[in-house]
Amino acid sequence: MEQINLYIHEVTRRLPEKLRTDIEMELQSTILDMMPDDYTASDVDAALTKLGNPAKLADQYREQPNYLIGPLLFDSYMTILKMAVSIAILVHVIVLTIQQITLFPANTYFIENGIELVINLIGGSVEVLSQVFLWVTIIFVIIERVTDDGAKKSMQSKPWTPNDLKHIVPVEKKKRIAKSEVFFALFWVIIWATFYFKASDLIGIYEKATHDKLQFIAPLFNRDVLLTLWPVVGALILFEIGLILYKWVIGKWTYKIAVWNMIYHIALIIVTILFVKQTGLFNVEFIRYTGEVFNVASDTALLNWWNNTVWAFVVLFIIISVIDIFNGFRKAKM
Amino acid sequence: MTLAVLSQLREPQYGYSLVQLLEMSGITIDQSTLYPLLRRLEKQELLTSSWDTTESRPRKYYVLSDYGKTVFDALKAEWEKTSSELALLLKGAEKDGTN
Repeated sequence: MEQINLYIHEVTRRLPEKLRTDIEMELQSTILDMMPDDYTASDVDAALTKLGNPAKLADQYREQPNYLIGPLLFDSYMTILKMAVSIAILVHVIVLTIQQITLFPANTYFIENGIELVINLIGGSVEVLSQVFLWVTIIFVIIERVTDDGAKKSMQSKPWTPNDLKHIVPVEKKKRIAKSEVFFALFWVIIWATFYFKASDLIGIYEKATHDKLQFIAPLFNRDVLLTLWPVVGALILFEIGLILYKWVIGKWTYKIAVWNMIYHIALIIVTILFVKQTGLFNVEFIRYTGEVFNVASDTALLNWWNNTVWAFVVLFIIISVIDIFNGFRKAKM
Repeated sequence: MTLAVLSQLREPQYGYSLVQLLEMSGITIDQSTLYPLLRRLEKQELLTSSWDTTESRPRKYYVLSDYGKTVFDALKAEWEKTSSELALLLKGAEKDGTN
């Protein structure tokens, strides 16, 4: 009898409180049923062997699933997880990049900061990933345990019908706009937008000072002149972000996107020319410094040389834009 | 398995008597599976249970509920349909094999 009680206890201690007494009684009568009335120790052994490992028996009695997330929820879990991870990483990268650029301390290595940014991005991403994974999983484990099968089924996507095929537009590979392309475009906009507003503190001549640190000598731009055009630049940034998001939603090159792309590039060129034509955009100190480096004789020659260089850049810029516009139309036409 | 258990429960049975009944018909069922299964079926309202304390030791009797009877009949019909269809298929296959 002692052994029987021990066995029953081994089963019931693994079960929720409210089930215990009932299962205890049932097991006891069952075990006694299995044996003759005047049972011996070997009869008890035989009966208990038939019932098997108490842990396994308790598992069978337990109604709670012994998986974290069941098959009914797994699909939604994966979908939500992927979505949450991509959004979290995107937000993380954007926030960190802006932070790193705006907090860029003067008199430090430019490269050093770049490396620091990359390290922070990777390290932070790992942290963000584990956080997202942890929380999404915890939420789903809770959902798994508090909802019944009916509620779980309602979370699944609707049954498939041939009608669903109508929403899928086949995209040829050549026309497709890759998600990575969209991501890097967005990343790029954010970087140059941040640079624009901080340019007078960042872009310029650095000279090696003591202790291997770089000292910021002469900024390339005059801050006041640079920032006079900020509403135009702001509009342009919004325009580009809008265009990138539009590309992302559509997912392939169309005639419409190519036209918008062209408008964007033309606006960009106009704004660039407006900038360059502004007097006093560039810092005189900067010009003088570069002039010295390249051994330009007089001040007029220096200014001439400088203007030529700037316009050469503008022309290069226009060529790149034209290529991009052309590519857009070519891809849309394919 | 569930069908086999339900088929024997038109009359009230307690755990071990059910095991013996099933074994007499040649069906061996793991006892560690059977008792939890009875409980689950009761929770799904296919079975009702009652404790009988009149005998030397208390026994828990399980019996089909009205709902359980309906479900059992439906399951039985389904099973019979499937097995007769399958039997037909297998018979056909045998014929093809011998010819």
